[in-house]
Amino acid sequence: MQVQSNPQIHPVVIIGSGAAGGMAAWNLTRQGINVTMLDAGRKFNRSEFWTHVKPWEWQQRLDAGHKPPPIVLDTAEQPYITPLGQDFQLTRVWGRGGKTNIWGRVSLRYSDLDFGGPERDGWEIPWPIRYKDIAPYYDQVDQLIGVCGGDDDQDSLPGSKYFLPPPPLRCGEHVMKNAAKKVGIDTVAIRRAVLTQPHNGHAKCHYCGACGSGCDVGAFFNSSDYLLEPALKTGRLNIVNNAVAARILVGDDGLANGVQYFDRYTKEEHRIYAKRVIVAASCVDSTRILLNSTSSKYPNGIGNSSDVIGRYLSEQIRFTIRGFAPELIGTTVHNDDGIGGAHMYLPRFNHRDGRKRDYIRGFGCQFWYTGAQTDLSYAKSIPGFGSDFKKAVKERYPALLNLHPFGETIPKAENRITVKGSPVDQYGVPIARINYAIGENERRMSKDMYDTMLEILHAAKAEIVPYQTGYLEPNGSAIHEHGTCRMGLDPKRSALNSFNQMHDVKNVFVVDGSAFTTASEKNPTLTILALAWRSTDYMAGEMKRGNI
Amino acid sequence: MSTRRDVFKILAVTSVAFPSYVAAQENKEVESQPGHLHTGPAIKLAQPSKPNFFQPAEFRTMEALTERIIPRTDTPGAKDAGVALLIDKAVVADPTLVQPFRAGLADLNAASVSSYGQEFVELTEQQQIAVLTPMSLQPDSSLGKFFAMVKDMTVDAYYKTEIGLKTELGWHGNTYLASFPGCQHPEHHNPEHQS
Repeated sequence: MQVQSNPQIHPVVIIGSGAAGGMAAWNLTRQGINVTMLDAGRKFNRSEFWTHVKPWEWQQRLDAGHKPPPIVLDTAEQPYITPLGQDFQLTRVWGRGGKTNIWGRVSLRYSDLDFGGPERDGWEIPWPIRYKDIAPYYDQVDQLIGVCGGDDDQDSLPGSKYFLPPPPLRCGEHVMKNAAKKVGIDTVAIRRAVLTQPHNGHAKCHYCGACGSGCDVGAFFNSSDYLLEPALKTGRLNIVNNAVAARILVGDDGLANGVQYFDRYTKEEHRIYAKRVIVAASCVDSTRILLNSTSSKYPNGIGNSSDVIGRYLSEQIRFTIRGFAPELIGTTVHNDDGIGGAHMYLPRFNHRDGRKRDYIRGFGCQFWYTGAQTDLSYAKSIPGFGSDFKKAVKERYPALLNLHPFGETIPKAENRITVKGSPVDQYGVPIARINYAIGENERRMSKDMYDTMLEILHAAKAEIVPYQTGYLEPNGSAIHEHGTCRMGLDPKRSALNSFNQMHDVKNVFVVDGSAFTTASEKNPTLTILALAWRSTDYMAGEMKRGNI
Repeated sequence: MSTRRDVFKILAVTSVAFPSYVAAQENKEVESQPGHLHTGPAIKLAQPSKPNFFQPAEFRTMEALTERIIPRTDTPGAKDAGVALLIDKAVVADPTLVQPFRAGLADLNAASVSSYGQEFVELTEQQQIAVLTPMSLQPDSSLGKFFAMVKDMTVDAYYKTEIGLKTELGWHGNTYLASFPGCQHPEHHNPEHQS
């Protein structure tokens, strides 16, 4: 098939339209820079989301042959491989806004406890930035997208002057807050990019709780409505739909000079030329693109003289443990949807309670699905059958407590994404091979996580739903992949400098989660947005100075 | 701020006057409006009326068995909610369930005959409960495993229906609220309450 290429040289090409790519496009276009974006899908129409389809209507609609918009990429369309018995659950969204269409919205600032972790315990390279470097950008992001939260900062969780009001707690959350307090652990109001008030022209949340199906009114941050629509209005953004990026092209001077991509459906090959390339395709796809971008100058993949690209994949460990609050059993059922997910957060505390741990780094806890929910799986663990069983299920319905801790996984060279020798996808491009396992540090931390959660449930005098000790949810299922193109001060041990710019190739910037030096226990999107803003400010400055 | 209903009215009125222009306008509106009609046109749904996997006798047994697990009390039970039909659909979707159901239902009848001389559906409610009780207490026996599987599937099916989730449990979520009030039990806000 003939390769379609246009000789036009674009100032900037961005691969990916999610949080990272959206922020890069928004920030550059508002500074007068023309941007072309390659999006592997197209715009999702919010009015087609199944936000307000009742649980029993889902199956009826599916039976009638209707389908919700295909937001999550089908693995059959774009496979990846894992070693036998070592699954990694990868969730990707190819389409405008990427995963921000359906993300969890938890927006926690990293602290110097996170940025300074490697120095303190000596595990792997340090971050090249500190909280003071990113704090102004967190402030700007909060003001731009709208984040709710409380005035209850902790040393492990810096706050914001710009929070929207947090939603009030559900009954079960009050119970857990009080129980945690009893065992000496403080909780805070959730910080979440959900609009509890109208903000910058976006509608406020209407508390239907169905955020995971996509918000029909755009009341939580998504890259399409909050970043790309304003960027398009400048007239300086051009989005190429259904453009599946494959490789970054390199000129004789060793600089990137374009991107090879394929039309998602016609499979036609295209080449687009550019003076600068921003990679923002989400951790795994960005890494795949970088590693597939081999040339005589970069036999190991572009910008990979350090051989760190693809390595140090870090996700997070999680589990769920549930119980019933005795004082809520048999009480009135509330509509507990709220802003969808927890209204409370338990920040990391293990660095300051004086107890010695046999592991490094830490964990925090979220409280998703507390109170009256549509998931009744707990009923299976209630013994017996018949009218007593039915009554026991009903009485416990308003009393459900749900603890959902997230722990950091430490970066390891052997946890890696590779493409060499992989089968090829439908475009003839090698797919990602993900080789990832947790280790002793994570197992020890998970023991402490279980002990802490049980301590809280016992303090609440809760009836605990049977659980399997030590069980962890599948690797990858937190959907928080980091570390495979990490930033650092030492070009021999990192791929990017402190502004997400490649050490080896000055006109390539990687601005998604792959740039993170460590994973932390926190949800990464807020930090991705802040870093992408900071990186593209630097990039625009370097362009003005004529350096790139 | 206009309510969602207001926006819908505006769109409906406009679309009568300028249908083709409004199609584009409406789409634009949808993308820029703070609130809009979101459920789309009503969908006509075909209601399944008969099982595809279970034989008639098996189906009657399934209805009786699921009704014993979640019986009609002052609220509707599994039979009212059509749980046996929903399980039939699950078996059709997952062929690995065919053998466990075929064998399990036969074994259940064998146990009923051995205790009371009649198949499960012919037994009185008390006799059915007497047959099921040891199964529910011995999850490792083959009948116990069958019972646990049916109980799990009954829970999954019943509490996903409108009858199970809304009528029985009182769930009233996934709706438009102008504000979220949070917990309305002041006693739960007090940290001293639990001590």
